[in-house]
Amino acid sequence: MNRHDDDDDLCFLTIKEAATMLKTKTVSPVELTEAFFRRIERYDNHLHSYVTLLKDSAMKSALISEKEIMDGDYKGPLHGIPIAVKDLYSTKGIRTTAQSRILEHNIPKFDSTVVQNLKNAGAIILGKLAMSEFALGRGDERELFPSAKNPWNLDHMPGSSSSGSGAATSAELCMGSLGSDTAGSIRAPASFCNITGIKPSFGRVSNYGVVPLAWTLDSCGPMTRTAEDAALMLQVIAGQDSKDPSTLNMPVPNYAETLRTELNGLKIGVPRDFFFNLDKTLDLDKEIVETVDKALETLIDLGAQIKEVDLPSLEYTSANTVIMLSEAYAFHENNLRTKPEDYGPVRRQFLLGGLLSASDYIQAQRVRNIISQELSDLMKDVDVLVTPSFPFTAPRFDDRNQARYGAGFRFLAPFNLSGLPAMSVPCGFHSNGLPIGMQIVGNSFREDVVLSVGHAYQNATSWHKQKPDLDF
Amino acid sequence: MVASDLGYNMNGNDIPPLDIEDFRSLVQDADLNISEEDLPKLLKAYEPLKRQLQALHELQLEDTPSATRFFPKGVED
Repeated sequence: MNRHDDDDDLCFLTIKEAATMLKTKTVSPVELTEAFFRRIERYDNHLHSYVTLLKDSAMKSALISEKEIMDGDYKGPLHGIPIAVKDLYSTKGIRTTAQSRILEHNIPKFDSTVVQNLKNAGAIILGKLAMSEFALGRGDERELFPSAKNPWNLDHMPGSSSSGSGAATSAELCMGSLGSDTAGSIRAPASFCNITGIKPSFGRVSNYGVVPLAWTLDSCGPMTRTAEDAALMLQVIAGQDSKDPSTLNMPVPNYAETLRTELNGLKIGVPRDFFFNLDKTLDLDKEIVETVDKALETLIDLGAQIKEVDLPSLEYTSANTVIMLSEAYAFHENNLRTKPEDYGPVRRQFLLGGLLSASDYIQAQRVRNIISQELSDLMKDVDVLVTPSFPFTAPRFDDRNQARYGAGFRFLAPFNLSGLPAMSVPCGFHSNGLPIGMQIVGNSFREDVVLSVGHAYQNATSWHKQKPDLDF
Repeated sequence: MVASDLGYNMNGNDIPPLDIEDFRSLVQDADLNISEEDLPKLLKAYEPLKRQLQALHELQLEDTPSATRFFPKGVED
C-alpha cells in the first residue's frame, strides 16, 4: 500500500470512526492531520476549496492533542479531528476575508465563538475555506480568491455561499466544516456536493465573530459527510452565548445519543404543491422529484407516516430577499460609498438594498410573520417536513441564467424566515452524474429530530458514501 | 445565491418596466454612489425586486405585527 492509499484510509473516515480510533489510540491526531495536508496538496489546486492553510498551527495543535490523549485527557469526539472553517469566521491572528477585498487585510484579534468552541473541544483547524463574496452572489472570477469547484464535476458550481465548505468536505479534504446559511448557503452546497449540512434553529448557535450578511437570518452550522457527524459537531457549537443576544437559553440535548435508526410513529409532512409540482414551477427537474419520492418511500419503510400538507404563504418567500438586502445594505453602506471599487460583483446586489424603504422592510417582516405562523401551525401536526433541497442539480459555471439559480433558493429560504432547523442529506444522483439532496425541516429547536431522520435514512441507504472521482 | 431573483417563480403581476429616468431619480434619492454605466445594470437587477415588493405590499395583512419570534411551541408562554 502506498502513502496515498494510507492517506485515503484515514481521510475517508467519518468523524465518528476517527474519534473511536483516536480515543483508543489506534491513530494519532498528528498522523491524521498530516494525511489531510498531503491530500489537500494533492487535490486542492484543482478544487480551490481552501483560501488559507494553517499548517503550522494545525500541526502544533495536533501535537498538543496527541500528548493530551496519550496522557489520558481525552476531551470528546472532536478531540484531534481535522476541521476547516468558512472564511467569514473570525480566527484570532489569522486573516478573515469573507472572500472580499474590503477585508483583504483583516486579521481579527479574537476567535468567533464557534471557532473557540471547536478549539476547546480539541478540534484541529486545518484552514479557512472559500466562499462567495460576503456570502452573497454565486462565485465569480472577480472575487478575491478563485471560486471553489464542485468535486463531482469541475465545470459545475459547488453551490454558494459555503462553496469551499461543500467542496472540501465532499472531497475529503477535511473531516467536517463550518458553513453559514442566510437563504440556503449551507444546504445548497450540501445538496450539490453530496454531503450533509444542517442550518440549526435561529438562536441555537452563536453568530458572534462571524461576518454578517443579514443579522436576523444568518445561522452557523456544520457541513459533514453524515448526520451523525453533524450531530457531533453541532453538540460542540450549540448553546447560548452571552456575546450574541440572539442566542436562546434552550437546553442542548445529547444529539448523538438521541439518534434513531427507525422512524416508527414519525409524521412527515410533504408540501407537494410548492416543492414537487412539475406543472406549476418553471425549473423543477423531474428527476429530482422522482428521487426525493423514492427517498420518501425509504422513510416510510423505516416506519414514518406521510401526510400531504399545504403551505400557501411560501409564495411570498421573496420577503427573505427584502430583509436580507436591507440588513446587508445597513452593514455595507459606508464601504459602498467610500470604497466601491473594493467590491466585486456582489456590489450591485448590495446597492439594491439601498433602494428599499423602511416600509418595504417592515412589510417583509410582517410577511415573514405570516410564513412563520403557518409553519408553526403545521408543525403541530407533523414532526418534520421533507422536500427536495433544490429544484435542480449544480449549475455549470458558464450558465449565465443567474435568475434561475437564484430562484432555486426559494426551496431553502422559508426556513431562514421561520428560523426552523433544516438539513440537506444526499438521496441519489441525477442522470447527469450530479448529486441530489433531500431537505428535512424540523420544529423550532428540534435539531435532534432532524438529525435522527437523516441518520435513520443514511443507516438504510448508501448515497452519502458515494465519493467523487478526483483523478482530474 | 443571487438575491434579487428569489421571487422568480412567485405569482407575478403585470407591472410596466421602470423608466431609466425615474430610476435615476430613485437612485439619486437614495444617494447611491454609482456610475452612469452602472445605472442600467442596476435597473435590470431592480426590476424583479420591484415586482416582488409590489406583491408583498398588495398582501392584506390586517394587524399582523413585524416582530418575529423563534421560540418553539409551548416555550414562549
